[in-house]
Amino acid sequence: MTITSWSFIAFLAIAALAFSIAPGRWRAHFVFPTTTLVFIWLVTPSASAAGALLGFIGLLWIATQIIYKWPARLVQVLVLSVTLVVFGWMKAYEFLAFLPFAGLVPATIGLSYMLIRAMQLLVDLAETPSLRPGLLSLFSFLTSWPCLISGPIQRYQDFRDQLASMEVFALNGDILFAAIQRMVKGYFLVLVLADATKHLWLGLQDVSLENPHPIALAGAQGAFLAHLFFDFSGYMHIVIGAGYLFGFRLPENFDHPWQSKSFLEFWGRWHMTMSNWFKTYVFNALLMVLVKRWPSARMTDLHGILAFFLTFFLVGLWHGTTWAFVLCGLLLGIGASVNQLYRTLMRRRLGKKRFEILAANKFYVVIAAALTFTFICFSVSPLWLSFDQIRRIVMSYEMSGLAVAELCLLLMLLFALPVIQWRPRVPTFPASHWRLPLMVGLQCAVIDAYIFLFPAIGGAFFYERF
Amino acid sequence: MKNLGLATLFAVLATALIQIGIVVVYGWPTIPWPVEVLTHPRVSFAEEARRAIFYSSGLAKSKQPMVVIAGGSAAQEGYQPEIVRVVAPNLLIHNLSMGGANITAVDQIIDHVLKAAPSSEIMGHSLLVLSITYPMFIPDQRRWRDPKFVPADAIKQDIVLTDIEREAMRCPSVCNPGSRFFKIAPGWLVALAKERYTLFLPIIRHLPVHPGDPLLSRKVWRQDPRKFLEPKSPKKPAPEAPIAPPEPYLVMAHKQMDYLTQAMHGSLHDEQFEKLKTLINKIQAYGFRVVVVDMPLPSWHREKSPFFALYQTKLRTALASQLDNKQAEFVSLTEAIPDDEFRDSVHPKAEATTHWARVLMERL
Repeated sequence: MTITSWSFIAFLAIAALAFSIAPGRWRAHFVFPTTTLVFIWLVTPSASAAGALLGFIGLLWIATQIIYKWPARLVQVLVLSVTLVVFGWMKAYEFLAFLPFAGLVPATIGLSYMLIRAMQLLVDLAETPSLRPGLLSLFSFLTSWPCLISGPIQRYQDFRDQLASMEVFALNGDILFAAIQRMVKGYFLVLVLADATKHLWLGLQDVSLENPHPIALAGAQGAFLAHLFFDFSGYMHIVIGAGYLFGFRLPENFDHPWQSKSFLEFWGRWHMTMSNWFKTYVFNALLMVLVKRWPSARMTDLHGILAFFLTFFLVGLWHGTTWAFVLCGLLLGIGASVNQLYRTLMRRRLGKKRFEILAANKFYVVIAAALTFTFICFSVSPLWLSFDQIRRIVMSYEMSGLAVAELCLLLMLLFALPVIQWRPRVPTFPASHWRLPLMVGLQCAVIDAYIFLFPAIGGAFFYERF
Repeated sequence: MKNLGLATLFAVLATALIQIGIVVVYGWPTIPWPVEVLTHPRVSFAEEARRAIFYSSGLAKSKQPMVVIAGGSAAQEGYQPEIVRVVAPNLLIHNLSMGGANITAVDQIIDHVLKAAPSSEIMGHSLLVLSITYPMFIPDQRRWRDPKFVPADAIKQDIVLTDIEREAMRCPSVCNPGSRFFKIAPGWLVALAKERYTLFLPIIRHLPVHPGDPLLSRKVWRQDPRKFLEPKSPKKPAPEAPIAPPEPYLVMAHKQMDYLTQAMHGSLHDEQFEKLKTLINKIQAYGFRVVVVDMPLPSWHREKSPFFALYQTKLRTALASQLDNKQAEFVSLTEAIPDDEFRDSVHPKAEATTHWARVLMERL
């Protein structure tokens, strides 16, 4: 079952119906976990993969019990380290191939997202023992099916509150329409726009790999980011809409990322729940460690730069198991730390106010945004190119070809971004209360026609692989 | 709930507007009667697969016993309903043969035929002619792996997709015989659901496979801006290549036979013979009389093909029990047509099609 299949719609309809007619006290502890089990059964590729998933949950349950009982910092670090190593072993990271039985566990879905949800709980549990979850609550939290495959990443505290409010949740016409409206928008993005950009990206990828064609390489980089945005943000609309039917208010994951003017701003708008998680549990922790180790005030700027580098390096690494993702992490780390360094230097040189005035200038914004997106497109290339392909491109294009490709991309973005960033708001025609139903109806009609006219072959949701 | 109602209304209106727009620009789709998959002139296998899927629903309108022909391109060209009608004016003949089909693809077309089958009384007196020849026994892994015919997406994802399956993806729940709806719903409902899409059909042949293809085909992607920095050398116009005279008929026909032989990759597998047996059982269960017709081949083709003799042995073995049990009848036309009536190694000349049709009707 994929999220865009009729089977998923049928699953959702049956689950929502069962949830609505079930007595309130059954919902959180019986109906919702049951729907999760059914979802896991439908989406995991094999019984052994489902077994691996459940085994990992068992390990995380033991980890929570240990931390609850012995909340000392050393125990916490030890438990987190063991959890990370087991996770790396299960995901079969290439650089952990030396571990015994590496690659033995069948590939399954959702491990990465379960890990970071669990780590949040393990860190917070040491400081707030009242967070200790029961086995069923932990299972529901880690496998909560709207968030299982690719997020959004919800904190345990928020999830627990929403689980508790399920008892009094009543589905009405307004909520149902809101859910359908979000889901239809999501399907429109995934099935129409993501599909159209996917073929463009794959076509340009083929052209750029067959011979050194810098313009095609530039196009492939841009088309990939556009595809990833439509695919991932569309998926988020679908799961957030589906969550409405069960009383969930899942956190938003995108906030107009195309409006970003800098690398760090982009990551504050793109996959926001992941960025916030890394900011809270990695960046802040790293910064504290660095400040404690080198408390000099003169080192403050350096602390920030280093913490950004390490955090974004881990962001890249978290996305995949191959050496290509190590490279991706390095590039993201460089992007974040250079951005921070630039910000620091400019503030020093111009002063905070003058820098803010400069940052508000339209021409500066366009150039900064184009440079930002050029680097983002370049740094996420390992998400769609294997390490071997990257090596081949570097060898055949040489430095001059790569530089020309990035220049071409910069030029394309200099023309495209102002159109996107300054586009006029959609007029509220014909009347404000008709706009949403009209949009839903139009999107349904376009999806229907598009799927018939341009049928897709295969086409799993891209972020599933992480 | 008011919003939901409005959204549904707008969806219906918008779909209707899109379809009206297509009809205004490209015209109303005409479904040929009797049903025929071959286009005049031939467009593509994909177009034929669409016609097989969507036009097969028309079979339900048959008010008299019919002859349904299914097979490959030779049967498609040799037994065109309009021409067969000349030699057998009282018969209603539909031809759902498709170019490039192997037995798997024929089986998939038959699923659509059986779903659209009219009343059991008419079925009982109707005839389903399976027109086969040895190149149709090419295994799926070879036939549907050829990058000339199969989209790159399918090959990349290691999916075996026949032309029929590929086109069925346009409306997977309605057009795919494997879907629950197709299996459960009565024939008239499937036909009605397919009908909704027929208005889209005229536009498809004007569209690219993917919406971005026209953009991808631009030469600009293959330009290298670094070349502008290189010093220009005066270009000499390339001498025009002399136009080769057309090859004689027999040379081309032999080349085509060689192509068919190479496509088989050196062996004739049992896979498609097993599928043929299963297919006959399936058709018979619906009440059709089944006739397996071994299609004509030129004498030189029969002699030179490394597969023909083996194919005949395998075919006889595969069909033996079904022929003994009278589940199917067998008609061999392999030697029934003189060599000068072939335009290549398997297909009829246009002027010979009446004779081809007469020969078939006489033997049926």
